[in-house]
Amino acid sequence: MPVSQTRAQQLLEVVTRELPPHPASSVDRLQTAEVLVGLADSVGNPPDADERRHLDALCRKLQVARRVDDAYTPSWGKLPEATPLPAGFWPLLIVCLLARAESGPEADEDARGLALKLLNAGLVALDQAERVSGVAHTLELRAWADELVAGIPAAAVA
Amino acid sequence: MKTLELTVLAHEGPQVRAYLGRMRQAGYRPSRILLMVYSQTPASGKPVGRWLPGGLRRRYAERVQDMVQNFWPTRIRRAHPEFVEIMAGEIDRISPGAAELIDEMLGNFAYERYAERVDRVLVRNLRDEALGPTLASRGPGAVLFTGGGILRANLLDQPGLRFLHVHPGFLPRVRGGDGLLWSTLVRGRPGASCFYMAGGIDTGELIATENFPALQFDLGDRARPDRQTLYRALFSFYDPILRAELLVRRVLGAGEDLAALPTETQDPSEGITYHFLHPALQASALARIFRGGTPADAPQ
Repeated sequence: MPVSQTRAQQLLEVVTRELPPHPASSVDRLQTAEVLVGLADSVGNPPDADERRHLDALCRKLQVARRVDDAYTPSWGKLPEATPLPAGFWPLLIVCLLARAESGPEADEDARGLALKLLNAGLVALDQAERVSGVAHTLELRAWADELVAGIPAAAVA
Repeated sequence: MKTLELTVLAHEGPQVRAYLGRMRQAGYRPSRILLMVYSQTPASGKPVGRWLPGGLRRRYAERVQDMVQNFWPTRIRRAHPEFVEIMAGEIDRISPGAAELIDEMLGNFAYERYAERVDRVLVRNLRDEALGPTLASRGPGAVLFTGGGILRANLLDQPGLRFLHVHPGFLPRVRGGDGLLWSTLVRGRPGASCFYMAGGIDTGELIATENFPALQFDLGDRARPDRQTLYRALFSFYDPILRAELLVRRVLGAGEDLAALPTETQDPSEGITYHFLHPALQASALARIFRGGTPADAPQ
């Protein structure tokens, strides 16, 4: 198992153990924390269509809206009563992104692109998390992200 | 010189100058340029020359936007002339005449030299209500989009107009922002695609796509400009000329009616929509494009 995969598992276990309680999603309300727990469960496997939709939405929230809320409409629309994602869930958000940010040498172009897109979003999430009071593990997460950036291989010419 | 039935919706800056200069090199000129003269500064939203009477205000605002939008290419060439020479020499591999084109883009640029007719319109931004009717005033046809923000329904829904856009990425694989840098990281080389604009991000009907050879700018033992300068240099020279090359080589000669060229439909589920690069990944991509050079703070 590559070093970063071991690190992913270790950090995933730690941040999952420390998660605060959170409400379940309902028909008209998607709970961000619940989505993150679901994404954490499938780390190590290629994302299915639904997971891919959630990952894309999280990237968009981080990089276009520049904020992540505690809840959204089922299609990731803004809820008027939403509040920012609490500090206790930021480490899981970052692990969910960084754990998928490495592609093997056999990865096709889109798999490689998705991995780099998630690494990019993970870096943005780290920057934002460092401005939120009380987010744990930012130093370990930053070190991991830096390692992933340093290990980006040269792309095979498409 | 062949006149094309094409309106260039000009947003002052390196991109429109690269398009017009490269068209002139290839023996083309558009029938009309509609130059947007912004009545507000983009950064602060403050009115430009509010105290001046109409015609004088427009001329003043045009002068201001020339200085603002061409600030980086002008400054980079003044501060790092050898660096720009190296870039021009390498870009010449994909767009012959790149050095002359850069000279032209940064010289005394008079729009009247490039089109049969030049109109100027004072607007707040691309959403300004005056823009749609002004653009449509000469009837249906093709319009070349050259930047300035996101094109919205006030323009996209104007009857009879079709907007051409060149995106710096091979579609449908690379959509979204920073296409040139994402292409370098993911595909190992740049690409460009021309399409008719529609509502989504880079999802319109495709007219042409092309992969270009990977370019590397070898700085040798010269001073290496800082990351911001390298990034700005890409979007001052490399990116605009790459797009202009695709437009001239693959699109302008593809049919008499530029509003009705043959197209292919994109599958929106294919490819990836990227967002702007975080500085750490930006540095990684820039290190693959700009090789060598001595950092300014390195020991002598």
